[in-house]
Amino acid sequence: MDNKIIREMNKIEIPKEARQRAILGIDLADREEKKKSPKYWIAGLAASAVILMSAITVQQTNIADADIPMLSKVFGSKEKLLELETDSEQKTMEESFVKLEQNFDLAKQYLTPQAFSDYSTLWKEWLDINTKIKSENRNVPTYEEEKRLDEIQYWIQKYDYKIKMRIHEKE
Amino acid sequence: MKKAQKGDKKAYLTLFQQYEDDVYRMAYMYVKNQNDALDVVQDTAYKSYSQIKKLKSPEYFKTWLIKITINCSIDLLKKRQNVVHLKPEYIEFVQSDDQDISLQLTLQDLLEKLDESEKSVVILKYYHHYTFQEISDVLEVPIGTVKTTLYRSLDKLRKQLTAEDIYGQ
Repeated sequence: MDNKIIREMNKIEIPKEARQRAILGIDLADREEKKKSPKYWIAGLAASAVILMSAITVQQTNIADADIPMLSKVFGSKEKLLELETDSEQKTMEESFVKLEQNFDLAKQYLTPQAFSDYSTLWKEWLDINTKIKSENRNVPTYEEEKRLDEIQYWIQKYDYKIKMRIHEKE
Repeated sequence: MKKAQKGDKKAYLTLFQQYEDDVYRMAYMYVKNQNDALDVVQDTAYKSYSQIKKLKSPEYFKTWLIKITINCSIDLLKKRQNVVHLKPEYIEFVQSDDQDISLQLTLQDLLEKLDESEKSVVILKYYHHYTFQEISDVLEVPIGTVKTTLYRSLDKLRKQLTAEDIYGQ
């Protein structure tokens, strides 16, 4: 029985991606560990967008002409997003929105409708939590909020990886 | 191991890679398709790296890692509400080797005929060569339950093999 089971199990081929996925998992955990500082959440949307976009090549867009219909649909409105940060940070935020809009565009193209819906819901929840923190004039999230934000970012990055792989396959 | 426990990412990766194939194969036995098995590999790498500092007995690293893999696989199945679709890549995998039909059916038996707890016990016993006590620790069930589950699983597989012997010739 030993030999038979071993032989059968060994017939399961190990895909090349297994190594990449292990590295990705460890990278994500390492990043989570490092960002456990009070300043983490302030990086907020901008940082998340930058992380997402680091994996996906996008074309440059003129901020002044920025049109973000998908973001407005997912989050309710562009203004709601802008409420998150102070005026001095708005330019950075707008740049992030443009990148995020492009990210949503790619997500819609490369994810299944259900996956895209889950992806949008994650981002919506991310915004709701951060809006609540901001509206209560708090500098840091609660333990539960931080835990959930970590989970959200983890899942968002998994979807991002799938998008990246599908773009790569298409190329 | 000490470096990994102190947060050395590269050291942990080297450690993890020694068991990467075991993790993938274990995951595949539960989720039955490549995409989900890869998700489990990523989740296992994520959770194990996050918790490596808490591992008190480094000599049991492999056992600990396999336990995380099983939990991640079951979490994924629960997330899918226990609905496991027969995806195209699985069909291709099962049908890919027509040179050894008997062995092919046995792998399919392992995947299809055994439930999650039976698969765990059979794989831990015959693939990883764990003792009943170790299996009991990994699965967090009494030794008696492990033995009962193993005998039930073997009975199922034997019946299947007998049926193949009769009808397959």
